[in-house]
Amino acid sequence: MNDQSKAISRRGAWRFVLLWIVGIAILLAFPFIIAQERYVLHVAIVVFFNICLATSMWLIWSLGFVSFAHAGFMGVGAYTSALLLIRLGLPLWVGVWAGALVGGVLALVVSLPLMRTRAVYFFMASWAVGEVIKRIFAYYRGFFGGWEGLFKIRPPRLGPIDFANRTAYYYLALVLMVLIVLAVYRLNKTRTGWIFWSLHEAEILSSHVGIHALKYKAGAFAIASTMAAMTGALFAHYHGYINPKSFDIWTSEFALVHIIVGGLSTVAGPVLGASILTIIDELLRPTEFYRIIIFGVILILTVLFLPGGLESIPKRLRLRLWKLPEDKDTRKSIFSVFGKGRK
Amino acid sequence: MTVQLLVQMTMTGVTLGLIYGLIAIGLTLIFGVMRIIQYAHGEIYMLGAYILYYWFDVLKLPYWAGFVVSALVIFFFGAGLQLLLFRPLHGKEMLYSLAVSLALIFIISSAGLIFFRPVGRGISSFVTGQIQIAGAEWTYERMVIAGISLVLILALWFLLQRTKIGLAMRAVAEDPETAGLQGINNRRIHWIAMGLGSALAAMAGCLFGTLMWILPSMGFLATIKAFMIVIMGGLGSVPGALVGGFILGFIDSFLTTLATSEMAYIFGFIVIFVILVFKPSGLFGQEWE
Amino acid sequence: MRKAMMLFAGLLVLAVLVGFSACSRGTPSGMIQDKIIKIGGCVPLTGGSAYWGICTDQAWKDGAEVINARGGVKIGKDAYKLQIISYDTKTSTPDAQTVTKRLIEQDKVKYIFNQAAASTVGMLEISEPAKVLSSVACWGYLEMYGKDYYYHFRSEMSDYEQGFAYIPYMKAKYPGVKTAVFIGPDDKDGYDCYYSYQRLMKYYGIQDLGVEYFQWDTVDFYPLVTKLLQKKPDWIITSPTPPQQTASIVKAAREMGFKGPVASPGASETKTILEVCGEQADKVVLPVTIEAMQTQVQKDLAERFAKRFGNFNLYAGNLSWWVYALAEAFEKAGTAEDTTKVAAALGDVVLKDTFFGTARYGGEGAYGIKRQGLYDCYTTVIENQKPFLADVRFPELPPGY
Repeated sequence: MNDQSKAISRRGAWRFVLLWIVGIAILLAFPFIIAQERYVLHVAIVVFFNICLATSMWLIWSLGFVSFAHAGFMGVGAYTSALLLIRLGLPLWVGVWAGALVGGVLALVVSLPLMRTRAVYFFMASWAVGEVIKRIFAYYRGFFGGWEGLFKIRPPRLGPIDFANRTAYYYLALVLMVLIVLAVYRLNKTRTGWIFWSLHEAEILSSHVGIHALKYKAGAFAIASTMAAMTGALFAHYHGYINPKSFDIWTSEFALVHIIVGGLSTVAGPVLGASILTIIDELLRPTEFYRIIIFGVILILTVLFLPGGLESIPKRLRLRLWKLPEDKDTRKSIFSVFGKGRK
Repeated sequence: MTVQLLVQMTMTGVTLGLIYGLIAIGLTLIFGVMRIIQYAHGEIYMLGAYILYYWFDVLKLPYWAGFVVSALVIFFFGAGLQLLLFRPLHGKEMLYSLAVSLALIFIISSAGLIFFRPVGRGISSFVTGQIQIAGAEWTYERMVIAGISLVLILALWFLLQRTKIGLAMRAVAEDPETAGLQGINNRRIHWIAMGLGSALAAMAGCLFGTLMWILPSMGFLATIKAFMIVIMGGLGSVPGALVGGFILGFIDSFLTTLATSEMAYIFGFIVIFVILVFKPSGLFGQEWE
Repeated sequence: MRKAMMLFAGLLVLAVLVGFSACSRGTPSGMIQDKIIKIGGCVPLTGGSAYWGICTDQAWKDGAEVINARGGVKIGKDAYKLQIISYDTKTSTPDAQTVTKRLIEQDKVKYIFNQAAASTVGMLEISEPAKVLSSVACWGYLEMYGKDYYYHFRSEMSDYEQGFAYIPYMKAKYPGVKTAVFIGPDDKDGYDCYYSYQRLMKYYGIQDLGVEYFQWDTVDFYPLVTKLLQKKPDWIITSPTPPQQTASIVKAAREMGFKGPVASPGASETKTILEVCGEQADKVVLPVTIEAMQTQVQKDLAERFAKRFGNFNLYAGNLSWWVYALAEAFEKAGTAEDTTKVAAALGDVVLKDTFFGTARYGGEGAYGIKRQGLYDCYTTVIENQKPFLADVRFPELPPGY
């Protein structure tokens, strides 16, 4: 960034905070804005779930790898919470934390051997983990319900509020989403976040500087998988029915598509990508296979022509509109504006 | 466990191993030379099968001519994909090639489903008849297909080890910069390798389509198997692909028959995980950055 | 900069959500010129069940067109046109829930058609409490069917009902068949079909030697068929198995020396089997499958499909009568608003001249309520690579059905 743009950002700091508050307020008031129209609320809830998944996957990406076990951990949270309700009668309030715990511990355990692998081997190994998790759910029909799935996963009550009411569940999903996005945002901003990115760039170099790579990689993986598990728990109690097919590679892949199209450099990327693509997906429902082709085209166009993703659009517009003098960084790629030098 | 059962399972395992190996060597070549993730490898395989189907079953032209035509068409298709889509991503993170090839999966399989319709079809067999070996039935078709797979795998190995272009590919795979300094045109090697890898996938598709069936969504199954094998065997290693293919083929054959198909599937993934724990770069792979 | 990103992201999310809600308000109620009955399609148009879903969708759209062309549905003094609105469930249960919510809450439909277990299960928990009538093809999840599901019609004959139509024929044609083995996909459809066959085989006195389940990702059936043939069955049944897997099973079985018949309800495509099996295509019994159009109704439908959709998928014919039944139910009940009355009327509808001859609903004894579709079963057999129509009969239902 050159001096001019730095100065501009400093001036506008307070304005941003104010707009932030307005944004949150609108999200809170949303159900009433749309007169509690139920189908739209449903789409909003699905959008929130997808944002959670995409954002937590982005956390893993910030360390430099892609985990295809993500949906598997979502399944772990979902099944833990569902089984606690069905077998022991414990509500979602217990289930979501239990799911988080089980997911987190499992992720830690799995990450130790997993982190030994590199790059594309990691991708395949994580895929294997996700597949095995899903297949275990399918295999044990008696305990997990097998391919048939689990039914009657009722949403909980909290005092007078029954979360079977969709508006109530909207707020629940909203809370989870905000928590996860905030957590990832804060994590990314702190020193830990800088360490993540340095591991992303050059792991060997980082370890030479004294950063214990395994600790951070396993930690991030565990945190992200825990977030996925919590999302899974809410997912299970919302839909009321789960089966192993909801937690397969396609779910992980769509989370990946969301973060690529949305943008990879800040947490705004997964948020944008997940929300916009989920809505496009809904709008394209009657179109049969063309919907999938359109997704593929969007993805290719993004990678080839808009590598910063959707979140880089305001930056590009700003550079265009205000005709800031191009320093050597901006000419290379949009990421380098942030001084992080990602390719 | 009778001898007949054992022989049958072994022969099935060998056939499966060779076919899986054929699907995998194309992928391992692409990985090794270009360091990209070609997630859409299975879609190429599907296209190859459909080309042969239209040539042989619809247009009623000779089978083996169609086999060669399919390989050639897909060779250029693969090379084209490389030049258009993957070349701009060269040097960038692997995530981008994964993304582009994922997009290709969406586009190719959906286009296939729209164009070819989601109904299964079969490429008719080119030879009929069978013989018995030690009480187990062995069809000529399976023997020929297994044989061709073996020949193609050996041919690729021969190409890589003994010819000039194979040497160039191995050089680029091992150290692109030095290879460039030695006068090898990296770009040309890239699209040739991609074309060759795709052609091998197409041939695997033709053979599989004859042995089993074709469906526009058959690509993803092949991709899964190919990735499993390549990772097990090590990226860029042709012997690794063959060994990995056999491991998976034997697991599928023996465990499905003796236990359940579910078990075979889970076990396959567990084996991969275990191999990667002890050899993070696969059985024969080199250290990857 | 980061804050700007976050903000931009947040505002864009809101903007899109609000915009989406605004434009998906749906059509305004109270159409002026034509009276319309909206029928929703909650069908898999992509994913594993796409073939059947697309056929179902086509069958309803074609039928609606025919009905509208002859003046629509007459209720009282008014003529109503049928409008079909369908969305893709992607063969995924959560998506089927989304589609059902959209159809009921957004598009305000009261009648939904559906295909395959995954989508049906997603729909039922929402459609039943909302008293929305559903006409589906679903062979599994029998626990979500019956008296407690008043508005849920299973218009396609499941394995169980088909068995009563073609097994009598099989017993006559292959009298030596005493034992049978079942192979089906490893999912609820497979499990429930096996359950149907256990009852059928008991009824017809055939010994059940066991069951094997295959994964949908199976690439070679040799290992499984090897295991199956160890039991030395006279007869192999595979259900609900799409034509290409059926063909591979037949091929593997024949190559390994199996000489008995192989039955596959649900395959419904002879061409695939002929292509894949080649010389091994022999003694393949395909219930509810028709190859060459016989009656005038069938010929007309095939012609209309070819014109409208470019090709004719045989399976679509199987489902074509559902929309005519519903139209008659509207007229009999005298309303399209009161779904309880329509459901009662639909249960009693008997059609004579459909694609598959006589079609009606039954099952008071077996399921507690008349909601199971029943129609003439056309059984096609492939012998020595030649398919031919072997038998046409209405299911010979057991007493008390």
